[in-house]
Amino acid sequence: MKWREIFGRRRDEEITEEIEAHLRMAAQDRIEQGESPEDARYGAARELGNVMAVKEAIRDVWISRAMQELAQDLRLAVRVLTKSPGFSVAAIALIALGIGGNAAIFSMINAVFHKPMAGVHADNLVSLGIMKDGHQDDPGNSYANYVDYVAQTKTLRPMLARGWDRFTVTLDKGSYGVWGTLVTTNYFETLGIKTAKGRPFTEAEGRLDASGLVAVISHNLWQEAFQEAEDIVGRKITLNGHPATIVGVAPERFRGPQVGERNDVWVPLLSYARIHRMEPALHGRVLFRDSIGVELIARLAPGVSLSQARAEFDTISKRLEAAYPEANKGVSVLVVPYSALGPGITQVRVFMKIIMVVAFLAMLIVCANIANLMLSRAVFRQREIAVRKSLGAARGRILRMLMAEGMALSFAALAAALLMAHWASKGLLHLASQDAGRALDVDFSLDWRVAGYALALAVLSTLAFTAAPAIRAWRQDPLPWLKAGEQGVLRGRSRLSSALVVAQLALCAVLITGAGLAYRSQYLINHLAFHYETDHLALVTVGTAGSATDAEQHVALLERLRERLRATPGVLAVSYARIPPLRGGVPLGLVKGGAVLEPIPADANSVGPDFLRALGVVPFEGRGISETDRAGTTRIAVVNQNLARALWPGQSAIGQSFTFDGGKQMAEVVGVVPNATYTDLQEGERRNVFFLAERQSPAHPGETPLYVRCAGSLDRIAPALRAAIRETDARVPVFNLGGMEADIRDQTGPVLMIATLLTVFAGGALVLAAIGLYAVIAFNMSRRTRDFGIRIALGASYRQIVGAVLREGLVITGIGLAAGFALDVAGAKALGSLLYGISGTDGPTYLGVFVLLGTVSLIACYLPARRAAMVDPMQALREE
Amino acid sequence: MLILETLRWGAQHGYGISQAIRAGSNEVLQVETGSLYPALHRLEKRGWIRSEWKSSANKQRAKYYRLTAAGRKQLAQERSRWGQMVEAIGALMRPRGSEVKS
Repeated sequence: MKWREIFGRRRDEEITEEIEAHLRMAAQDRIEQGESPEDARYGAARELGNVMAVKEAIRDVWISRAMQELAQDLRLAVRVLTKSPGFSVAAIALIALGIGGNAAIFSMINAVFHKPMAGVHADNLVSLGIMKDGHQDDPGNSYANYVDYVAQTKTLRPMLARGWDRFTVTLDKGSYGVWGTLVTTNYFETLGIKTAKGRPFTEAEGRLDASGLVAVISHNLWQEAFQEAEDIVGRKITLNGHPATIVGVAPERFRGPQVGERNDVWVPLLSYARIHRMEPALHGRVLFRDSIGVELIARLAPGVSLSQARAEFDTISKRLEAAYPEANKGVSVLVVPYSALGPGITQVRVFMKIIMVVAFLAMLIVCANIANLMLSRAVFRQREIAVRKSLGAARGRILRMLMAEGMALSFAALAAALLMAHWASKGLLHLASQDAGRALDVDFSLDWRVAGYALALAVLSTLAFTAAPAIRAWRQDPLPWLKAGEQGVLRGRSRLSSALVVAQLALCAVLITGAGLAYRSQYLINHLAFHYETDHLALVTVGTAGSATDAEQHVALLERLRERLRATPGVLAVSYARIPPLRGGVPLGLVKGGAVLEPIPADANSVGPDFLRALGVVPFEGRGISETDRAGTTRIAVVNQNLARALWPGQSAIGQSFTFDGGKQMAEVVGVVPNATYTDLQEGERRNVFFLAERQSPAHPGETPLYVRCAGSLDRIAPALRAAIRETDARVPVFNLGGMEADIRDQTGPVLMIATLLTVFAGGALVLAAIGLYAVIAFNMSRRTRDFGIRIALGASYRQIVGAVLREGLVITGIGLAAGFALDVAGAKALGSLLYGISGTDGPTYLGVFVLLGTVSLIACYLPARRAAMVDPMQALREE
Repeated sequence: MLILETLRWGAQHGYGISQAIRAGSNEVLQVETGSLYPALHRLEKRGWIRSEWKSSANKQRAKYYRLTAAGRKQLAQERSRWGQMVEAIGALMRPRGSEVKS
């Protein structure tokens, strides 16, 4: 049935005209039979009966009764709501905020979870994750397993493998540090990407015995390094010191299939590994079955369903587990639909889930609040409803009337909310881009999914907040309301609305606790005992692969850089390490020596001379690593106090030796340093740590962080540092240059963002909960004015009355807080993974929340309590 | 069914239909005008009749109804059902031997 037919006037007019024609013709006949015109008209009309009733009956034929009543209900609802504009505007604004906030956050999550990266053809595309011993693990797999998967699968075709690497691109003008991906040759074909220029790789180019190295470069690199040269295909480019031929340029916005990828070059994995046969890490990536160097994406073969692919990979996983029990024990492949976020459990996922839950909790609080508002309105409308009932309105009809009011509110709010969500998601994108220091290439626009989600929220919230008044109306017995006056029988309301306030307080407690935890964790980070100075420490990540070809050249280059940088004015000390601070340690296995019988875990880093001075750590005992610790001398190490105490309790560690790397290597301790936050932000001082001399066992060329201790501001000295590096060797690119403090901020950014977000939501929730509590108490008071009047007349003191009212409010608060804390403890684990230094059940935070909510509810209850105690008994008694 | 029957011979407007039924049944059946129009609209909604505005014999605009193919089929069905019913009721009402036919 068309909208026009329901609400339009055309059919009505036709019906009227038809009836009129009938009357005219009937009258005509009567006149012809000899009646007077007046009698004829009258007779014809009498014959027809009630014109209105006939019209109504005809209309009913076309429009179902329910539809008509719905329209009626909606009209009535709009009329009722416009009668109390204050309430309506407040309610609509609240719901709009709730739905809008949710929709904005949902659109962000939608963008990341459901939209493919630019250029990727996502139909039937799947990612292959890893399940290890029943838990989802990092999706890194081995190339050896990949080869077996490809040989055995019939459901996934084609399938690609890819692994990331830093690349030094050397051109005539200097070197670029870029990200690149080592790929199987079907990479572009699998993702459905056509090159903008040239072609993707051929199968032959990916073989181990391929004659030379080929590369596909990004549109970005083509623009910046080659000025969009038309003859780009066939030109040479030097990647990590090896010449490669450019065969193609990727399409403009494509930088990789996953969020955050910024690839500028792609090279075939096998031929690159062959050229780089000196590099053990890369070698391992190709050869070892326990490597986690590649991630896999595949497309379902035509006509194959996801569950078929899953079933097949369960068998393949079992087969490979049986064939290679050492590497594949407990490992199975998880086939999931492709998403730009990748198949792993990332911090991003946890983060987004938390935001989603927070927004949803806020929505629940809004609903509880509106329900309470509706409930208090319903009380004042109970007489109206009683009258309706007694005039014969069915219960269902009254229910529908209340629903229609809720619906009118929700849908008005929905329109506002979608508008708000549109702006909010734009704002979020802007914020996130600023945070990341570059424009994020994520499409946050509202699509049908977001609109559907908002609509569902609107419907659900309507149900949620109309349920309470509807239940009341359903149960209500109309009789007493017709007999008594307004003041007569306001009873039995408080339990339902008290329950709603309890719910609000509980949810509010959850949000405030979350915010509190996040802030406390942030505070702890800001006041972390690093035991060294984090300011005035610059971290400069350089790539040596474009200049050095082996380990000796690598370390010689680092020494040259160190010398040159140290001569720069404003630089106090310079060193280098394998791994930047707070990024874990070099995997060197367990440590054994001294008093311990079983090997113990320890983090290691291999560092250059002057490392302790650059970091700003003074050894307790002995010395740091110096320039004399070079190849050919005794392997030495500096250990932290934890490790010294664990291995040689009660004696000096200096001169002792220990083994590591499964007993294959050994070092003598020359210094002991304080327990500081070297390798891990969260565990910090609790870990065992030792430092080795890089020059005694140098690494292969690659990405290396330089630690530069400066006297003045980092911003001022940064250009001088870059210039010094360029002068030393123009083939060494600077991947990254930043302060240690900024680095820590980056790592703790998510917590701060959650803290901010939670604070906004928690603040709003607190205000709403306080208003809710106040409203309930105040309402109960006004209802009991007479009661209090009598009590006061009988001699109750101010204190007694206030006490009685406060008790009522505090019972509600108490129950709400208890419920909230119970929820907190249940959700603590989820939040815990994002917190630093504290667990999700941090005592002081809970205490703070208790005090805050307690105070707020005391104030909310005290105001009505005071009013109750000030009641003039004479007036109260006379009121009826 | 009466309405459908009336429309069997061509299009007619509401008033005409009521007159036709009255005349056709020798004034025995009087369709109550109040229920005639809702009935017409119900038939139209079911697709058995179709309506259009036309000028009547004396130059007045009126809504004419005509049978559709579906309506014709329906009429045929109802006629045969009606026939069966008349027979059945007739058989029941027929006096068993002794009683006098009224």
